[in-house]
Amino acid sequence: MASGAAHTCGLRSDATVVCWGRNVEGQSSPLTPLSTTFTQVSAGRFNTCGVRTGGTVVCWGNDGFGQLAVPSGSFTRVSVGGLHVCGVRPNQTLACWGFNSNGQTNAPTGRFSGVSAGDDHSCGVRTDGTVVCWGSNGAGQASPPWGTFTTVDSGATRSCGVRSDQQVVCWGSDLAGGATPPAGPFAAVTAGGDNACGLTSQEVVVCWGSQASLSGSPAPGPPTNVRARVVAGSATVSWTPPVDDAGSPVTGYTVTVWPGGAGCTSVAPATSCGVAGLSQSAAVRFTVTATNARGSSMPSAGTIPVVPGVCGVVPTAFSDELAIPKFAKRGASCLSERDITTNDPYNAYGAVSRAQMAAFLWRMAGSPPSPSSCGFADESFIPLFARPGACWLKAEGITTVNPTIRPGS
Amino acid sequence: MAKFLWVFSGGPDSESECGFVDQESIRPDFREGACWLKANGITTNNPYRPVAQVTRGEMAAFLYRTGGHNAQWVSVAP
Repeated sequence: MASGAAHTCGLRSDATVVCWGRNVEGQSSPLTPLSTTFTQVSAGRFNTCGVRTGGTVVCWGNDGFGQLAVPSGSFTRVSVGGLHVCGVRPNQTLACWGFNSNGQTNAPTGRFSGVSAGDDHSCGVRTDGTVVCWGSNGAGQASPPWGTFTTVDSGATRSCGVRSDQQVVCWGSDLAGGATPPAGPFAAVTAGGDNACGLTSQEVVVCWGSQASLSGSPAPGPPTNVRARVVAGSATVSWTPPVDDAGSPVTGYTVTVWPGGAGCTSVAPATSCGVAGLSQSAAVRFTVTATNARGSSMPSAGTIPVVPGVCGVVPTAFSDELAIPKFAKRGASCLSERDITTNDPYNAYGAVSRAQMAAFLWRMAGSPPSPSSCGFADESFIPLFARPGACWLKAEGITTVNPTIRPGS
Repeated sequence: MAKFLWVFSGGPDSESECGFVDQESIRPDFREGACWLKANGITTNNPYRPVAQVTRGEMAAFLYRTGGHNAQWVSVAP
Protein backbone atom coordinates (compact mmCIF):
# COMPACT_ATOMS: atom_id res chain seq x y z
CA MET A 1 0.00 0.00 0.00
CA ALA A 2 1.16 3.54 -0.77
CA SER A 3 -0.75 6.71 0.13
CA GLY A 4 -0.31 10.04 -1.61
CA ALA A 5 -1.91 13.38 -0.78
CA ALA A 6 -5.43 12.29 -1.73
CA HIS A 7 -5.07 8.94 -3.45
CA THR A 8 -3.87 5.48 -2.53
CA CYS A 9 -2.44 2.61 -4.53
CA GLY A 10 -1.93 -0.99 -3.57
CA LEU A 11 -0.22 -4.06 -4.94
CA ARG A 12 -2.57 -7.01 -5.21
CA SER A 13 -1.36 -10.47 -4.26
CA ASP A 14 -1.06 -11.20 -8.02
CA ALA A 15 1.37 -8.21 -8.27
CA THR A 16 -0.99 -6.03 -10.31
CA VAL A 17 -1.61 -2.50 -9.07
CA VAL A 18 -4.88 -0.77 -8.20
CA CYS A 19 -5.38 2.91 -7.22
CA TRP A 20 -8.31 4.80 -5.76
CA GLY A 21 -9.08 8.29 -4.52
CA ARG A 22 -8.41 11.65 -6.24
CA ASN A 23 -7.80 11.25 -9.97
CA VAL A 24 -7.90 14.82 -11.31
CA GLU A 25 -4.30 14.50 -12.52
CA GLY A 26 -4.70 10.86 -13.52
CA GLN A 27 -2.70 9.74 -10.48
CA SER A 28 -5.15 6.89 -9.87
CA SER A 29 -5.15 5.66 -13.49
CA PRO A 30 -2.09 3.53 -14.24
CA LEU A 31 -1.03 3.91 -17.90
CA THR A 32 -0.04 0.26 -18.10
CA PRO A 33 -2.16 -2.72 -19.23
CA LEU A 34 -4.20 -4.14 -16.36
CA SER A 35 -2.11 -7.31 -16.35
CA THR A 36 1.19 -5.45 -15.77
CA THR A 37 2.92 -6.74 -12.67
CA PHE A 38 4.91 -4.64 -10.22
CA THR A 39 7.32 -5.23 -7.36
CA GLN A 40 6.70 -1.88 -5.66
CA VAL A 41 4.48 1.19 -6.00
CA SER A 42 4.80 4.71 -4.52
CA ALA A 43 2.14 7.43 -4.43
CA GLY A 44 3.01 11.13 -4.10
CA ARG A 45 1.16 14.43 -4.17
CA PHE A 46 -0.04 14.30 -7.82
CA ASN A 47 1.79 11.25 -9.15
CA THR A 48 2.23 7.53 -8.83
CA CYS A 49 5.23 5.45 -9.92
CA GLY A 50 5.77 1.73 -9.87
CA VAL A 51 8.71 -0.61 -10.39
CA ARG A 52 7.61 -3.20 -12.93
CA THR A 53 8.68 -6.83 -12.71
CA GLY A 54 12.00 -6.67 -14.56
CA GLY A 55 13.03 -3.36 -13.03
CA THR A 56 11.77 -0.60 -15.30
CA VAL A 57 9.83 2.25 -13.70
CA VAL A 58 6.60 3.67 -15.05
CA CYS A 59 4.89 6.81 -13.70
CA TRP A 60 1.41 8.29 -14.20
CA GLY A 61 -0.43 11.41 -13.11
CA ASN A 62 0.79 15.03 -13.36
CA ASP A 63 3.56 15.68 -15.89
CA GLY A 64 3.90 19.44 -15.44
CA PHE A 65 7.55 19.17 -14.42
CA GLY A 66 8.73 16.05 -16.19
CA GLN A 67 7.71 13.66 -13.43
CA LEU A 68 6.66 11.08 -16.03
CA ALA A 69 10.01 11.31 -17.89
CA VAL A 70 11.59 8.32 -16.18
CA PRO A 71 15.32 7.89 -16.94
CA SER A 72 16.19 4.74 -18.84
CA GLY A 73 17.58 1.73 -17.04
CA SER A 74 16.42 -0.38 -14.11
CA PHE A 75 15.45 0.47 -10.55
CA THR A 76 14.89 -1.57 -7.41
CA ARG A 77 12.88 1.04 -5.48
CA VAL A 78 11.11 4.27 -6.35
CA SER A 79 9.78 7.10 -4.17
CA VAL A 80 7.38 9.82 -5.31
CA GLY A 81 7.38 13.18 -3.52
CA GLY A 82 5.65 16.51 -4.15
CA LEU A 83 6.52 17.09 -7.80
CA HIS A 84 9.63 14.96 -8.12
CA VAL A 85 10.64 11.31 -8.00
CA CYS A 86 13.76 9.47 -6.81
CA GLY A 87 14.78 5.87 -7.35
CA VAL A 88 17.51 3.41 -6.36
CA ARG A 89 19.18 1.53 -9.22
CA PRO A 90 20.37 -2.09 -8.98
CA ASN A 91 23.96 -0.81 -8.52
CA GLN A 92 22.67 1.22 -5.54
CA THR A 93 23.23 4.62 -7.15
CA LEU A 94 20.41 7.18 -7.14
CA ALA A 95 18.52 9.02 -9.86
CA CYS A 96 15.92 11.78 -9.32
CA TRP A 97 13.71 13.58 -11.86
CA GLY A 98 10.87 16.11 -12.00
CA PHE A 99 10.55 19.56 -10.39
CA ASN A 100 13.89 20.94 -9.21
CA SER A 101 12.99 24.27 -7.57
CA ASN A 102 15.28 23.70 -4.57
CA GLY A 103 17.75 21.11 -5.81
CA GLN A 104 15.54 18.22 -4.67
CA THR A 105 16.50 16.19 -7.76
CA ASN A 106 20.26 16.79 -7.36
CA ALA A 107 20.93 13.34 -5.93
CA PRO A 108 24.43 12.87 -4.50
CA THR A 109 26.76 10.20 -5.81
CA GLY A 110 27.62 7.08 -3.83
CA ARG A 111 25.83 3.89 -2.91
CA PHE A 112 22.46 3.92 -1.16
CA SER A 113 20.20 1.29 0.38
CA GLY A 114 17.12 3.53 0.27
CA VAL A 115 15.75 6.90 -0.83
CA SER A 116 12.69 8.97 0.01
CA ALA A 117 11.32 11.97 -1.91
CA GLY A 118 9.57 14.61 0.22
CA ASP A 119 7.60 17.69 -0.79
CA ASP A 120 10.63 19.63 -2.05
CA HIS A 121 13.54 17.81 -0.48
CA SER A 122 14.85 14.24 -0.55
CA CYS A 123 16.83 11.99 1.79
CA GLY A 124 18.74 8.78 1.24
CA VAL A 125 20.34 6.13 3.46
CA ARG A 126 23.88 5.30 2.36
CA THR A 127 25.07 1.71 2.48
CA ASP A 128 27.12 2.63 5.57
CA GLY A 129 23.91 3.68 7.35
CA THR A 130 24.48 7.44 7.33
CA VAL A 131 21.73 9.69 5.99
CA VAL A 132 22.16 12.51 3.51
CA CYS A 133 19.45 14.97 2.41
CA TRP A 134 19.25 17.49 -0.43
CA GLY A 135 16.80 20.15 -1.64
CA SER A 136 14.80 22.66 0.41
CA ASN A 137 16.15 23.11 3.94
CA GLY A 138 13.99 26.00 5.17
CA ALA A 139 12.92 24.15 8.32
CA GLY A 140 16.04 22.03 8.64
CA GLN A 141 14.40 19.08 6.91
CA ALA A 142 17.55 18.45 4.87
CA SER A 143 19.91 18.54 7.87
CA PRO A 144 19.90 15.02 9.30
CA PRO A 145 21.53 14.28 12.64
CA TRP A 146 24.61 12.15 13.03
CA GLY A 147 24.08 8.43 13.41
CA THR A 148 23.42 5.28 11.45
CA PHE A 149 19.95 4.52 10.17
CA THR A 150 18.06 1.57 8.71
CA THR A 151 15.39 3.63 6.92
CA VAL A 152 14.41 7.24 6.27
CA ASP A 153 11.20 8.97 5.17
CA SER A 154 10.84 12.53 3.85
CA GLY A 155 7.59 14.39 4.52
CA ALA A 156 6.46 17.94 3.80
CA THR A 157 8.87 20.02 5.91
CA ARG A 158 10.24 17.22 8.03
CA SER A 159 12.12 13.94 7.73
CA CYS A 160 12.22 11.01 10.11
CA GLY A 161 14.42 7.94 10.25
CA VAL A 162 14.79 4.78 12.28
CA ARG A 163 18.27 4.65 13.82
CA SER A 164 20.16 1.40 14.18
CA ASP A 165 19.21 1.42 17.89
CA GLN A 166 15.54 1.29 16.75
CA GLN A 167 14.75 4.80 18.01
CA VAL A 168 12.97 7.21 15.66
CA VAL A 169 14.62 10.60 15.10
CA CYS A 170 12.95 13.44 13.20
CA TRP A 171 14.43 16.68 11.89
CA GLY A 172 12.86 19.79 10.36
CA SER A 173 9.57 21.39 11.39
CA ASP A 174 8.33 20.43 14.86
CA LEU A 175 4.95 22.08 14.31
CA ALA A 176 2.41 20.44 16.68
CA GLY A 177 5.11 18.08 17.90
CA GLY A 178 5.38 16.28 14.58
CA ALA A 179 9.16 15.96 14.97
CA THR A 180 8.98 14.72 18.57
CA PRO A 181 8.44 10.97 18.40
CA PRO A 182 7.92 8.75 21.45
CA ALA A 183 10.57 6.26 22.55
CA GLY A 184 10.93 3.10 20.44
CA PRO A 185 11.78 0.45 19.52
CA PHE A 186 10.48 1.10 16.00
CA ALA A 187 10.77 -0.89 12.77
CA ALA A 188 9.52 1.73 10.30
CA VAL A 189 8.46 5.39 10.16
CA THR A 190 6.53 7.72 7.87
CA ALA A 191 7.09 11.48 8.15
CA GLY A 192 3.80 12.66 6.57
CA GLY A 193 2.55 16.26 6.60
CA ASP A 194 1.42 17.62 9.98
CA ASN A 195 1.87 14.34 11.78
CA ALA A 196 4.10 11.30 11.64
CA CYS A 197 3.61 7.64 12.44
CA GLY A 198 5.90 4.79 13.33
CA LEU A 199 5.54 1.02 13.33
CA THR A 200 6.95 -0.39 16.55
CA SER A 201 8.84 -3.64 16.67
CA GLN A 202 5.68 -5.13 18.25
CA GLU A 203 3.86 -4.12 15.03
CA VAL A 204 1.83 -1.38 16.74
CA VAL A 205 1.35 1.88 14.84
CA VAL A 206 1.99 4.98 16.96
CA CYS A 207 1.41 8.51 15.66
CA TRP A 208 2.48 11.89 16.94
CA GLY A 209 1.88 15.52 15.97
CA SER A 210 -1.34 17.08 14.66
CA GLN A 211 -4.32 14.71 14.27
CA ALA A 212 -2.22 11.85 15.58
CA SER A 213 -5.27 10.19 17.09
CA LEU A 214 -7.13 10.25 13.77
CA SER A 215 -4.37 8.35 12.10
CA GLY A 216 -3.76 6.02 14.99
CA SER A 217 -3.45 2.33 15.50
CA PRO A 218 -5.17 -0.39 13.49
CA ALA A 219 -8.10 -1.93 15.34
CA PRO A 220 -9.48 -5.46 14.91
CA GLY A 221 -11.93 -6.37 12.15
CA PRO A 222 -15.65 -6.50 12.97
CA PRO A 223 -17.27 -9.68 14.34
CA THR A 224 -19.26 -11.75 11.84
CA ASN A 225 -22.26 -14.08 11.84
CA VAL A 226 -24.22 -11.94 14.31
CA ARG A 227 -27.45 -13.54 15.52
CA ALA A 228 -30.06 -12.23 17.92
CA ARG A 229 -32.48 -14.63 19.59
CA VAL A 230 -35.28 -12.40 20.79
CA VAL A 231 -37.98 -13.09 23.32
CA ALA A 232 -40.51 -10.62 24.66
CA GLY A 233 -38.53 -7.55 25.72
CA SER A 234 -35.05 -9.05 25.61
CA ALA A 235 -32.53 -10.65 23.31
CA THR A 236 -29.51 -12.91 23.41
CA VAL A 237 -26.98 -11.80 20.82
CA SER A 238 -24.17 -14.09 19.64
CA TRP A 239 -21.42 -13.72 17.03
CA THR A 240 -18.20 -15.14 15.60
CA PRO A 241 -14.89 -13.42 16.56
CA PRO A 242 -13.24 -11.30 13.84
CA VAL A 243 -10.89 -13.11 11.49
CA ASP A 244 -8.35 -10.27 11.79
CA ASP A 245 -7.43 -9.12 15.30
CA ALA A 246 -4.73 -6.77 13.92
CA GLY A 247 -2.07 -8.63 15.86
CA SER A 248 -3.51 -7.99 19.32
CA PRO A 249 -5.96 -10.37 21.02
CA VAL A 250 -9.57 -9.22 21.22
CA THR A 251 -10.36 -8.42 24.85
CA GLY A 252 -14.10 -7.79 24.67
CA TYR A 253 -17.20 -7.09 22.62
CA THR A 254 -19.95 -4.46 22.70
CA VAL A 255 -23.45 -5.08 21.40
CA THR A 256 -25.43 -2.00 20.36
CA VAL A 257 -29.20 -1.86 19.84
CA TRP A 258 -30.43 0.33 16.98
CA PRO A 259 -32.27 2.56 17.59
CA GLY A 260 -31.69 3.21 21.24
CA GLY A 261 -27.95 2.76 21.57
CA ALA A 262 -27.97 0.67 24.74
CA GLY A 263 -26.79 -2.92 24.60
CA CYS A 264 -24.54 -5.32 26.45
CA THR A 265 -20.85 -6.17 26.68
CA SER A 266 -18.89 -9.36 27.00
CA VAL A 267 -15.35 -10.15 28.03
CA ALA A 268 -13.48 -12.32 25.49
CA PRO A 269 -13.55 -15.21 24.80
CA ALA A 270 -17.33 -15.09 25.49
CA THR A 271 -19.16 -14.47 22.22
CA SER A 272 -22.67 -13.73 23.44
CA CYS A 273 -24.46 -11.45 25.88
CA GLY A 274 -28.02 -10.55 26.78
CA VAL A 275 -29.92 -7.30 26.30
CA ALA A 276 -32.98 -6.61 28.48
CA GLY A 277 -35.55 -3.85 28.64
CA LEU A 278 -36.29 -3.69 24.90
CA SER A 279 -39.46 -2.07 23.62
CA GLN A 280 -41.92 -4.78 22.62
CA SER A 281 -43.59 -2.70 19.96
CA ALA A 282 -40.78 -1.36 17.76
CA ALA A 283 -38.38 -3.19 15.48
CA VAL A 284 -34.72 -3.22 16.51
CA ARG A 285 -31.49 -4.49 15.03
CA PHE A 286 -28.18 -5.36 16.65
CA THR A 287 -24.53 -4.72 15.79
CA VAL A 288 -21.37 -5.91 17.55
CA THR A 289 -17.90 -4.30 17.78
CA ALA A 290 -14.70 -6.02 18.89
CA THR A 291 -12.14 -4.26 21.09
CA ASN A 292 -8.46 -4.97 21.64
CA ALA A 293 -5.58 -3.03 23.19
CA ARG A 294 -5.44 -0.79 20.09
CA GLY A 295 -9.08 0.23 19.88
CA SER A 296 -12.47 -0.86 18.63
CA SER A 297 -13.50 -2.31 15.29
CA MET A 298 -16.10 -0.96 12.92
CA PRO A 299 -19.57 -2.28 13.84
CA SER A 300 -20.55 -5.63 12.34
CA ALA A 301 -23.34 -5.92 9.80
CA GLY A 302 -26.67 -5.33 11.56
CA THR A 303 -29.21 -8.10 12.12
CA ILE A 304 -32.50 -8.04 10.22
CA PRO A 305 -34.99 -5.82 12.11
CA VAL A 306 -37.18 -7.77 14.52
CA VAL A 307 -39.86 -6.73 17.02
CA PRO A 308 -38.86 -8.17 20.40
CA GLY A 309 -42.47 -8.53 21.45
CA VAL A 310 -45.09 -11.22 21.69
CA CYS A 311 -46.21 -12.06 18.17
CA GLY A 312 -49.75 -12.52 16.94
CA VAL A 313 -51.26 -9.88 19.24
CA VAL A 314 -52.99 -8.36 16.26
CA PRO A 315 -54.45 -11.31 14.31
CA THR A 316 -53.45 -11.44 10.67
CA ALA A 317 -56.50 -10.85 8.45
CA PHE A 318 -56.28 -14.04 6.37
CA SER A 319 -58.88 -14.25 3.62
CA ASP A 320 -59.98 -17.60 5.08
CA GLU A 321 -59.93 -16.33 8.66
CA LEU A 322 -63.21 -18.01 9.57
CA ALA A 323 -61.81 -21.39 8.52
CA ILE A 324 -58.84 -21.25 10.93
CA PRO A 325 -59.54 -23.18 14.15
CA LYS A 326 -59.20 -21.17 17.34
CA PHE A 327 -56.19 -23.10 18.62
CA ALA A 328 -54.27 -22.23 15.43
CA LYS A 329 -55.12 -18.52 15.02
CA ARG A 330 -52.32 -17.09 17.09
CA GLY A 331 -49.71 -19.39 15.63
CA ALA A 332 -50.84 -18.68 12.08
CA SER A 333 -50.65 -14.93 12.74
CA CYS A 334 -47.15 -15.30 14.15
CA LEU A 335 -45.94 -17.35 11.19
CA SER A 336 -47.31 -14.71 8.86
CA GLU A 337 -45.95 -11.78 10.89
CA ARG A 338 -42.47 -13.31 10.96
CA ASP A 339 -42.51 -14.27 7.27
CA ILE A 340 -42.22 -17.97 8.09
CA THR A 341 -45.12 -18.64 5.75
CA THR A 342 -46.92 -15.90 3.88
CA ASN A 343 -49.66 -17.99 2.24
CA ASP A 344 -53.06 -16.32 2.00
CA PRO A 345 -55.48 -18.06 2.30
CA TYR A 346 -53.78 -19.78 5.24
CA ASN A 347 -55.42 -23.14 4.44
CA ALA A 348 -55.38 -24.44 8.01
CA TYR A 349 -56.72 -27.87 7.06
CA GLY A 350 -54.15 -28.38 4.31
CA ALA A 351 -51.54 -31.05 4.93
CA VAL A 352 -47.97 -30.13 5.86
CA SER A 353 -45.26 -31.95 3.97
CA ARG A 354 -41.81 -32.69 5.34
CA ALA A 355 -40.40 -30.22 2.81
CA GLN A 356 -42.60 -27.41 4.12
CA MET A 357 -41.75 -28.33 7.70
CA ALA A 358 -38.05 -28.15 6.86
CA ALA A 359 -38.47 -24.71 5.31
CA PHE A 360 -40.49 -23.41 8.29
CA LEU A 361 -38.07 -24.64 10.97
CA TRP A 362 -35.13 -23.21 8.99
CA ARG A 363 -36.82 -19.82 8.65
CA MET A 364 -37.67 -19.84 12.37
CA ALA A 365 -33.97 -20.26 13.04
CA GLY A 366 -33.29 -17.09 11.03
CA SER A 367 -32.61 -18.70 7.64
CA PRO A 368 -28.94 -19.36 8.46
CA PRO A 369 -26.58 -19.90 5.48
CA SER A 370 -27.17 -23.35 4.05
CA PRO A 371 -26.46 -25.05 0.71
CA SER A 372 -29.21 -26.06 -1.72
CA SER A 373 -27.60 -29.41 -2.32
CA CYS A 374 -26.30 -31.82 0.31
CA GLY A 375 -26.61 -35.34 -1.03
CA PHE A 376 -30.24 -36.35 -0.50
CA ALA A 377 -30.90 -39.08 -3.09
CA ASP A 378 -34.34 -37.60 -3.73
CA GLU A 379 -33.05 -34.02 -3.95
CA SER A 380 -34.77 -33.38 -7.29
CA PHE A 381 -38.12 -33.97 -5.59
CA ILE A 382 -37.50 -31.33 -2.92
CA PRO A 383 -39.12 -28.02 -3.94
CA LEU A 384 -36.47 -25.31 -4.45
CA PHE A 385 -37.81 -23.17 -1.56
CA ALA A 386 -37.26 -26.06 0.86
CA ARG A 387 -33.78 -27.21 -0.18
CA PRO A 388 -31.67 -24.94 2.07
CA GLY A 389 -33.97 -25.86 4.96
CA ALA A 390 -33.67 -29.59 4.29
CA CYS A 391 -29.87 -29.30 4.17
CA TRP A 392 -29.86 -27.24 7.35
CA LEU A 393 -31.95 -29.87 9.18
CA LYS A 394 -29.47 -32.47 8.02
CA ALA A 395 -26.40 -30.42 9.02
CA GLU A 396 -27.88 -29.65 12.44
CA GLY A 397 -28.86 -33.27 13.03
CA ILE A 398 -32.53 -32.33 13.31
CA THR A 399 -33.34 -34.89 10.67
CA THR A 400 -31.11 -37.89 10.27
CA VAL A 401 -32.99 -39.68 7.53
CA ASN A 402 -30.59 -40.49 4.75
CA PRO A 403 -30.18 -40.73 1.86
CA THR A 404 -33.74 -39.50 1.27
CA ILE A 405 -35.76 -36.85 3.10
CA ARG A 406 -39.07 -37.91 1.44
CA PRO A 407 -40.10 -34.29 0.90
CA GLY A 408 -43.68 -35.11 -0.11
CA SER A 409 -44.42 -37.21 2.98
CA MET B 1 -43.12 -33.76 13.34
CA ALA B 2 -42.73 -34.47 17.07
CA LYS B 3 -39.13 -35.51 16.64
CA PHE B 4 -38.37 -32.46 14.46
CA LEU B 5 -39.72 -30.10 17.08
CA TRP B 6 -38.06 -31.89 19.96
CA VAL B 7 -34.62 -31.97 18.27
CA PHE B 8 -35.16 -28.39 17.01
CA SER B 9 -35.57 -27.38 20.66
CA GLY B 10 -32.26 -28.96 21.55
CA GLY B 11 -33.44 -32.49 22.34
CA PRO B 12 -34.01 -31.87 26.06
CA ASP B 13 -34.35 -34.80 28.48
CA SER B 14 -37.66 -36.53 27.96
CA GLU B 15 -39.53 -39.69 28.98
CA SER B 16 -40.25 -42.34 26.40
CA GLU B 17 -43.44 -43.44 28.15
CA CYS B 18 -45.98 -40.84 29.22
CA GLY B 19 -49.43 -42.35 29.10
CA PHE B 20 -50.53 -42.03 25.47
CA VAL B 21 -53.26 -44.63 25.06
CA ASP B 22 -51.77 -45.52 21.66
CA GLN B 23 -48.19 -45.59 23.00
CA GLU B 24 -47.43 -48.92 21.31
CA SER B 25 -48.19 -47.55 17.86
CA ILE B 26 -45.63 -44.74 18.19
CA ARG B 27 -42.28 -45.62 16.60
CA PRO B 28 -39.75 -46.17 19.42
CA ASP B 29 -37.37 -43.49 18.15
CA PHE B 30 -40.24 -40.94 18.04
CA ARG B 31 -41.52 -41.60 21.57
CA GLU B 32 -39.27 -39.16 23.44
CA GLY B 33 -40.31 -36.39 21.07
CA ALA B 34 -43.98 -37.19 21.48
CA CYS B 35 -43.66 -37.22 25.28
CA TRP B 36 -41.76 -33.93 25.21
CA LEU B 37 -44.62 -32.34 23.22
CA LYS B 38 -47.08 -33.63 25.82
CA ALA B 39 -45.03 -32.61 28.85
CA ASN B 40 -44.65 -29.08 27.50
CA GLY B 41 -48.27 -28.64 26.55
CA ILE B 42 -47.44 -28.46 22.84
CA THR B 43 -49.95 -31.19 22.07
CA THR B 44 -52.77 -32.20 24.38
CA ASN B 45 -54.17 -34.91 22.14
CA ASN B 46 -54.57 -38.38 23.63
CA PRO B 47 -54.55 -40.67 21.71
CA TYR B 48 -51.49 -39.24 19.99
CA ARG B 49 -52.30 -40.73 16.54
CA PRO B 50 -48.70 -40.92 15.34
CA VAL B 51 -49.39 -41.57 11.66
CA ALA B 52 -52.12 -38.95 11.23
CA GLN B 53 -51.34 -36.22 8.71
CA VAL B 54 -50.44 -32.88 10.35
CA THR B 55 -52.41 -29.90 9.05
CA ARG B 56 -51.12 -26.37 8.56
CA GLY B 57 -53.35 -25.26 11.44
CA GLU B 58 -51.84 -27.80 13.82
CA MET B 59 -48.37 -26.93 12.61
CA ALA B 60 -48.98 -23.25 13.35
CA ALA B 61 -50.00 -24.12 16.89
CA PHE B 62 -47.07 -26.50 17.39
CA LEU B 63 -44.50 -24.03 16.10
CA TYR B 64 -46.00 -21.22 18.14
CA ARG B 65 -45.95 -23.27 21.32
CA THR B 66 -42.46 -24.62 20.63
CA GLY B 67 -40.33 -21.78 19.38
CA GLY B 68 -42.88 -19.03 19.52
CA HIS B 69 -44.62 -19.60 22.83
CA ASN B 70 -42.46 -16.82 24.19
CA ALA B 71 -42.19 -15.03 20.84
CA GLN B 72 -38.73 -16.51 20.42
CA TRP B 73 -37.30 -15.86 16.98
CA VAL B 74 -33.86 -15.51 15.55
CA SER B 75 -32.72 -12.45 13.61
CA VAL B 76 -29.43 -12.72 11.73
CA ALA B 77 -27.10 -10.28 10.03
CA PRO B 78 -27.29 -10.61 6.25
